[in-house]
Parts: sequence; C-alpha cells; structure tokens
Amino acid sequence: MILICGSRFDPVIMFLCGRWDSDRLSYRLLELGHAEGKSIVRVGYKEGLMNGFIGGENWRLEVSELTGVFFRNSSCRPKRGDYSSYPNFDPEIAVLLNNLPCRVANRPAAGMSNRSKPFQALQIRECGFRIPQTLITNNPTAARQFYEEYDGKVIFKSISGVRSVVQRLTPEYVARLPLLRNGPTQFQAFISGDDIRVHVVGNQCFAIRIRCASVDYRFAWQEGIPLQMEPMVLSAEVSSRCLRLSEKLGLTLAGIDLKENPLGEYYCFEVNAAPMFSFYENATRQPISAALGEFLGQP
Amino acid sequence: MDPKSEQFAFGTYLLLGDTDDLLCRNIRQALERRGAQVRFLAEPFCNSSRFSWLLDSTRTSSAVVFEDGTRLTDSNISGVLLRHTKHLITKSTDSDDHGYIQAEIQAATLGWVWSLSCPVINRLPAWLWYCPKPPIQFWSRSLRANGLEAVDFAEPRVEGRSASRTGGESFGTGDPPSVCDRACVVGHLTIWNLNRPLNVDRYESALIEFAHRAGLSFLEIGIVATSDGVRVKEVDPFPDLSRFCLSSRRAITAALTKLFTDSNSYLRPE
Repeated sequence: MILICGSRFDPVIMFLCGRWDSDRLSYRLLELGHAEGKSIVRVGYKEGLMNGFIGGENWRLEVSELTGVFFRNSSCRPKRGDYSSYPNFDPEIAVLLNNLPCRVANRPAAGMSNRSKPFQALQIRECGFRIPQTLITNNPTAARQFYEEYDGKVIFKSISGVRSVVQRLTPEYVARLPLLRNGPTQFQAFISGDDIRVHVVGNQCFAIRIRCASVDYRFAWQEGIPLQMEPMVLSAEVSSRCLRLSEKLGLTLAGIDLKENPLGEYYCFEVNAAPMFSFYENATRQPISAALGEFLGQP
Repeated sequence: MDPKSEQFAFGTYLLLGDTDDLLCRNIRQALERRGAQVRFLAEPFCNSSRFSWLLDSTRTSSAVVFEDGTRLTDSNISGVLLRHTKHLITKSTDSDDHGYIQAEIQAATLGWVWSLSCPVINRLPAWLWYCPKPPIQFWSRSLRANGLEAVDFAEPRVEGRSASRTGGESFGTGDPPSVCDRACVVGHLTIWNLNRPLNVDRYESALIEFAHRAGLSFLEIGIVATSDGVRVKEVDPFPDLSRFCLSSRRAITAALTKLFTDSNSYLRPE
C-alpha cells in the first residue's frame, strides 16, 4: 500500500490522487497541517525493525504494509516574510519519513539540498553537468563588474529555496545594486537555448523540451509570451547524469532544470525535490504519476 | 572602503560564531598561541563584510573584505570553525524582507563553506544545516548502522496530543532519563566529561564511526545507561564547552586545534 503525506488541497496531490484513482491504485492520504485530518502515527523499533502503524479517519496502515510513501510538504507555506523556518515540517513526521524502511519520495532530509542553490550547484557539477558562471555577492562593485564582463547578459534569482522569478539584470536593476549591502543575491551569466525539464522517478527519466522566449518560462503567461512543451528523449549520457545527480542528492523523485545551449551543451540549474510534475504531465501526457505509482507500489 | 587600503591576510582561521562563545574564545587563543591569524565573522554575506563568491563548472573563488578593509580570499583561509547556521541580521531593513534575506544568507553560507578546500568544522550536510538539532529519533537509523541505539522516550503525536507507543523493546514511557555521560568526538578521539566511564571501548569506536559517517568531525554526545544497555540520548553538532569540566575543555580545544593545524588529522567529508 502507498501512503501519501501532504494536504488534499495541494494541487499536485489532488492531481496524483485523480490519476491513481483512475488507475485503480490503492493508497491512503495522511493529512498534514489540517485540523480536520485526524492523523495518528505510532511507530517504534522492535529487534531493530520499525513497527507500529499510521492512521487517519477510518483507516489504519501497519508499517509492514507500506510499500512506498509520497511526501509533499507544500501545505506548510511560510507566513509572509517568514522564510526562516520554511519549510516547517512536523519533526514527528520527519523522523518517521527519514527512518521508514520502504521507498519514500522524498525523505525530508534529502529535500533540504534544494534550499541552497549554490550548495546544489557544487553537487551538480560533480555529476558532469555544466553550471553557469555564477556570482553570489553583497558587494555592489563586484556585481557591476560581473554585469559588464558579460555585456549585460546577466540574470538574477534567489539563492535559497524561496521561490523567485528569474529576471534579467536590466539597467534599471543595475541602478539598484547599492541595495545589495542589505543582503546577497545570485547573479548568473545568461545561457541561451531551450529549457529542458527532466523528471526522475526511481531509475526512469521523463524529459520535456520547453521553447519559450521568456527568461523564466514558468511565468511566461504573465508576460503573454507563448510556451511550447514537448516530450523528448535524452541521450544516454545526459540521462545517466540525471540519475547520478538524483542518487547523489538522495532523491527518488526529482525535477531537474536543464538548458541546452546552441552548441548542444547541457547546463543544470537546480534539482527540485518536490517537483510540480502535474503541470508538465498535463501539458505533455508523460506518464510521470503512473511511474511514481509503480515505483512506490513495489514491495 | 578604498580597495587600495585593502590588505591580504595570509593563513587566516575564520570563526563563524559569536565573540562571547566559549569554544570560539578558546580556539582563538590556542591558534594565536601558535602564531596563526584568527578572525571572527559572525555574519557572512551581510552588512559588516563585503562578500563575493564566483563559481562555474570547474572553479570556485571567493573573497571577503572586512569592515577594516582586510581582504581575505578563499586560498588564504586555513580553516573555518562553524558555530551556528542561522546568522542573524543585526542591521535589518524592511521587516517583510528580513526573513527572506536571512534565508538567502543561510543558503549562500551553506554553499560557500562546501566550496572551501580548507578544513571546516563542521561542514554540515544540508539537512543538518537547516535542522541542526533534530530529535534524537532522527538519528536512529544511522546510530543503529553503527551498532548504537537511540533512547526512545518521546511520545508520538496524535492530532497534536500525545499517546502511548505500541510495544517493543525500545519503546519507553514516562520521563526521559537524564544524560549520565557526555563526550565529544573530535576527529579520531572521544573526549569524555569528567572521568572516562568503564567498559566504553566498543562505544567509543562506534561513536567515532557514527560521526564520520554523518560527515562530522566534531560532535557532542550524551548517553544514558538503561536496563537494555547504553543508549544515545543527545547528538549535537554544536558542542557546548560549558557542559564539560575544565580538563575536558582543554582536551577538546587541543584536539580541535590539532584538527585545524595537522592536515593528517582532518578528514574531509564526502
């Protein structure tokens, strides 16, 4: 039996439940963060093995019955401005998910790497991907030099896991660089080419090519810029790098953001530990949720 | 600051902690006695210092310019002692931005300490960086992998309340037992508070192995004796010297100093 840990109001979980219902896949939903969801966790160890049970309204699941867990913590959104404890998951649930003997997509500890993009970048390059020329600084002079070195073809984005829109460093923003003294920002040389999103599920890769003129295709609709997404087949080498990277970060489910430049070189920007795969599956019909069900449903 | 007035600092140890931290003070004294330069950097990537970190597919280089104009590049850093991961911004801007800036500083600092080639004590893995004091059960699997057991006294949550656990040898109830022995793992050494307990040979090597597998070269452990044997009750990657007797403090400081200054002592985590 598969366990979903999260909120029934989370769009990815709603999508996943819908898919698994139509595939007649059995699962239980352990509500996180909602008072109406009566969750019970009673686990411990006996002779070195975890035992006990997890339960909700009108159901109870023994740890030994679990084949896999899908965990998504987006129900615990930070309050405005309070990113310091984000994501603030329940330590009991974190302990459970980090210690369960079955497959978990993903264990909370593994998901933490996504909270620091430069930390991930160091892991990414060890797996054979290129990373863009990057400057992290609170020094306005260094940022301006970087801007000039790359002829103004520079973007900036958050360093942490806090969701931000990737933006071009325009002259208007350059004028605001003195504000860097308040805190650091991440600047990167702009890489042209197609975005490629890869979802890794266990040892399978699902790749999508994204053609879009916007710097951040996720928000292209806000600018009225068209977006084209189509499934693609990765080369064996790129696919192998994606699998290696997910494994290195301890992730069984990952959303890897790549870009292929006009020379055919692959750059990797980050690895999402809680990917919104429903958005991509809806657009391309790639069977990501089915693969996830199969992966978590195997004993 | 005029760049011309900047100076290069060679072979400097950085203490990412507060000046009133006992361990930082002791390490500073010990390193300075050996003729090393030591600097405090309580708030990397914010107000008081100018930080620049460049990285690409093959290289990484960074430089920090302190308020007094001293410039320190990563190649001139001999070692880093990390005492906390949540760097508080003293000169805050807008309150809405405060939390965001803090998250950015934390993320930048985590990446930066992993980019350094010098000894970093501790180079915390990402999960521990963001959750430095998890409940002891968090360590259960890795403790067990090294032949150790975590004490299990905490009662689980049921709809925000407590409830009894199911049966099992490690499921206890009632008040948590107090720590009876406390030790610091420093590299390949285990330094006990007060006297070394009897019959701990097996545990010492297991604790050292546990720390290494967790990627930590400095760790405080609290253990309790139960009817089932020795159980680990506390694991703290930010040891508190004030919980140790004077002679243990000296031994811990000396062992840490050796980790920094003797390249054979420090093992870089993977």
